[in-house]
Order: sequence, then structure tokens, then C-alpha cells
Amino acid sequence: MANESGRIGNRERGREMALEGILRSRFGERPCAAAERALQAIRSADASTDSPEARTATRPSEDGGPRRRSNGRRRFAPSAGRRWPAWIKTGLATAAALLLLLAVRLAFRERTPGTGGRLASGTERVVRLPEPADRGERDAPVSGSPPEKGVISPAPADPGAELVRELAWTENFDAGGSSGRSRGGSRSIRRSDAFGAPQPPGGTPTADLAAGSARQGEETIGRSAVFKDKAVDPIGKAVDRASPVADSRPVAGSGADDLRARIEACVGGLSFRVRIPEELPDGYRLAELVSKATGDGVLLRYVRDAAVARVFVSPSAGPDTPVRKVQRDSRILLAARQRGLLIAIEDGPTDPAACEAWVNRFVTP
Amino acid sequence: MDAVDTFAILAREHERMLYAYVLGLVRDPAMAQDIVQEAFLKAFRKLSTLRETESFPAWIRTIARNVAYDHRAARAREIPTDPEIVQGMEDLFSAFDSPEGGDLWSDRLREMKDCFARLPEPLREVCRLHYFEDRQAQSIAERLALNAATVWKRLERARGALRECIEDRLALKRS
Repeated sequence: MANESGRIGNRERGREMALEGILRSRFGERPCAAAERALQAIRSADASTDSPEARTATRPSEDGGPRRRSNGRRRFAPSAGRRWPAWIKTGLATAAALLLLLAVRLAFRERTPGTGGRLASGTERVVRLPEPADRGERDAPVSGSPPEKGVISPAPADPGAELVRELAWTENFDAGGSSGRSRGGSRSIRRSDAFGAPQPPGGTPTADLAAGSARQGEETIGRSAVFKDKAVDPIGKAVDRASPVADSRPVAGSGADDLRARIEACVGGLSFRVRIPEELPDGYRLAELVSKATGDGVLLRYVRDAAVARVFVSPSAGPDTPVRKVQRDSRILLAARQRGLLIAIEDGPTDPAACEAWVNRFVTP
Repeated sequence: MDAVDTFAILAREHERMLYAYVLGLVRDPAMAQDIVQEAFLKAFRKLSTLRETESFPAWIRTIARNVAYDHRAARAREIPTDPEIVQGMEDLFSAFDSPEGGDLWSDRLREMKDCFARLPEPLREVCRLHYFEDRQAQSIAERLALNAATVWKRLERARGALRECIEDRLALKRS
């Protein structure tokens, strides 16, 4: 019974829909040119085939109604015979425009350094960048060490690739290690400058507990003294395993006044504003500063007991980004762009959330 | 007189009816015109399958309904497919198919126009604004200083009153 009632209701609903249609047609007075256009299509096109051209050429349009698209197509494509050249012309014009755009884009990339475009030769890249570290763009990640989950790889389309590219200068920056030498000289070491002051003859032992040539037992080139298979603790005492770093000076152990003087000297040689905290969360204390000769980057080494964290700071244009893991070759850094600074931390906190507090310490208020 | 000329006569005679029928299905005037045109094109290609000219109105409505279903699939519009609803629409439109009521389809709607004229003015007003001028309920509500819910209610009452009136006039079977 209920079904019967429902069926009757649907039939009444159908009648109401018919009434609505008649009302919408204004009792049959609403303009409609569908029949004329159909007849036009039938007469002008081959009526024996279901020709799309015939239909699109005669799209209906209510006078004054909203069917603008159909009107436009009909106006500009009055018949199938004249529409084909228009399509061909449109296609050719689009293809030409795309080719022109591609050519301009390629030309622009060839002239603009550091855009990350694909280069014909690797040497051109070296000439462009003062630092020798763009391996992450050309080389695959170190074999046998797949990227950590959640780590950004230097894929061109990846937003993190830009950060990876900007971190090129940090590659062997402080150590001038084997990779730098094997590529024709450790440019970063030669160009870097510690505080702008000359090193004393024989160099000064510095704290270098990070990886690099020292760990591999290789010599480190530079003006500093060479320590092989020997390290210096953060306060300048010689311990096992380490090497001195060229163009850098130890900070810790020199006294508070000397520390501030060195910080000021370093900051004064930079081309950007950065706040250099003497201490970071978790008890890390500033041990060493190494600035780039060009003044657009600085490495800060912070130590806590035997742990050493390296912080790279450089000016960076672009929107602020939260702390994210960035992989550059086999290195994993936590990097963020804040207020025009790219701050990358290596061997520090592993959690990006914990790293936020570190990053904020370097940002000038 | 060739087939095209014959078809042209049929198409022009039933165009307004078919347009109203499709408007009842899809509500959108532009889309309805698309469907009507395509229905005529399909009808012309299948004209040889039409056995009696008298059945042309119901035949072309069936074609238009199927075209509308195709459009619904393409545009995800809600078009009822319930056979009872389809039959309900057919009840009303078939009542106006007979040429005895007038040469023009719009002339055959005399009874319905009369029913519409008998509606209370507030119901007629919302019907005019909604169906003739394609205004939405909110727009009508703002114009008449009413709630949108009141507008919908008046439209519903108007449809019910019109249906009952036309069912009485055409002696359609009622529930």
C-alpha cells in the first residue's frame, strides 16, 4: 500500500514537473530556435552522418539567454568547410607561441646563474658558483645510502630542491676535504676567511670534530697547521681524530671578551645581518666561526661535550619556510628560511620541531 | 516535398512543446535548447522508424528524454528516471498533443493558463519571477521582502494548486 502510495506520488510529481516545464516555457512563448538550427544543420551538413561539426555549427542559443559559448562558436565557425583552417591556424599559432616561450626560457636560463637549469657542461656551473658544491644537482645520492624517509631529495620539481641548491656552498666548506681537492682544489677553503684577520704562522689548532678529511686521515689544506689523525677539542686541547680548519679560528676557550670581539669581527665582515648566539638550547656553546670570503655565508660550530653541531647561515631570498629535513648527497641538514636568512643545521637536533628554537636564535628581531 | 521539408513541418510544430517538456526535465533553458536541437537531429536520422505521424509528439519526447539522460551523465545533473514520474509528465503533455485544441501548441494550453490565472496573486507573483524570469528563491525573497523559505513554500503551493486544477480540467486520474 505504501508502495502504491509512493508510485502515485511520483506520478503526481511527474505532472508537477510537466507543469513546471510549461511554466518555464512561459506557456510556450519562450523563444526557442532549436528546431531552426537543427534544420539548418540537417540541410547544410550531410544528414546521413552524425557529424559533430554539424551540431556544433548550429548550437542553439536563446535570444538574450546565457548561451554565449555556443553563439561564439557559431559565429566564428559558420561551417565545417571554413572551420578546419581556423583550427589549423589556431594549432599552429599555439605551437609557435610555445616554441617561442621555450626558446626564451632556455635563453634566460643560459644567462642567469644559479637558476638550477640543466647545463651543457659542468664547468660552467663551477665558474658561476664561488663554492664548488653543486654535486647534489648533478650527481645521484650516494649509493647504498637511500634517502631517509621524509627527507627532501634534490629533485627539480621539489620545493625543497631550492634549499638544497642554496646549501651548495656548505659542501666541505670548513674542511676542504677530499672531494674538494679531487675536483681541482678546495675553492671554499681558499675563499673563506676567518674573521678577516690573518692566521698566525703555522696556523692555529681549531676544533673540527665533524666528518671530513680529518676522519679519513687526509691532510687539510690551508694556511692553518695540519693535524693528521689528531683532533682538537672544543676548547683547543688536542685530542684524537681531527684536523684544523683553514681560515678559521677557535672561539671557545678564548674568554668571553675575546669571543664577543671575534663574533663582532665576523659579523662585520658579512654582507647580511645575522644574530650569532653564544649559546644554543641543550647546552651547545659557540666554538668556531668561519665566514665566506664573499661575506655571504658563515659557518658556526657549536659544541656540547663531544657533540658538535654546525650551523650554516646565508642570505636567502624567498618566502619563509618551516624547518625541514634536506638531503644534500649523503648529508642531512635541518634547514629553514626565515626573514631572508637560510639557516641550516647539521649534526644538531634531529627533530624539526626542536630545531625551530635553534633557528629562531639566529633571526634578528 | 522531400523528407527534410516534411520533418521541418513536424519540428516547427512541436518545438515549443518539446522545449517545455525538456525544461521540465532539466530546468536550464540553455541546456534544454541543446537537448531539443540534438533530439531533432536524432529524430531526423531515425525518421524512417516512425510508423505513424500522429505518434510523433510522444516519439520525439522519448528521444529528447534519452538525450537529456546523456546530458545528465555528462554534466552530473539530476534528471528523474523513475517510470512513474516519466508517465506523470506524459499524462500532461499528451493531453495537449491533440490538434483539436488549436493549431499552435501554446493555444492548446488554454486550460492551464486559466488555472494559472485563478491562483492567488502572491502565488502567481512568485511563479512569474521564478519560472518566467528564472530568478532564484533568494532573489525573489529579497525583491518581495520575504524569507526564502516562504518563497519556496509559495512555489510548492502554486504547483499543487495548478496540478489539482489541471487534473480537474483535463479529467486526469488523481490519487
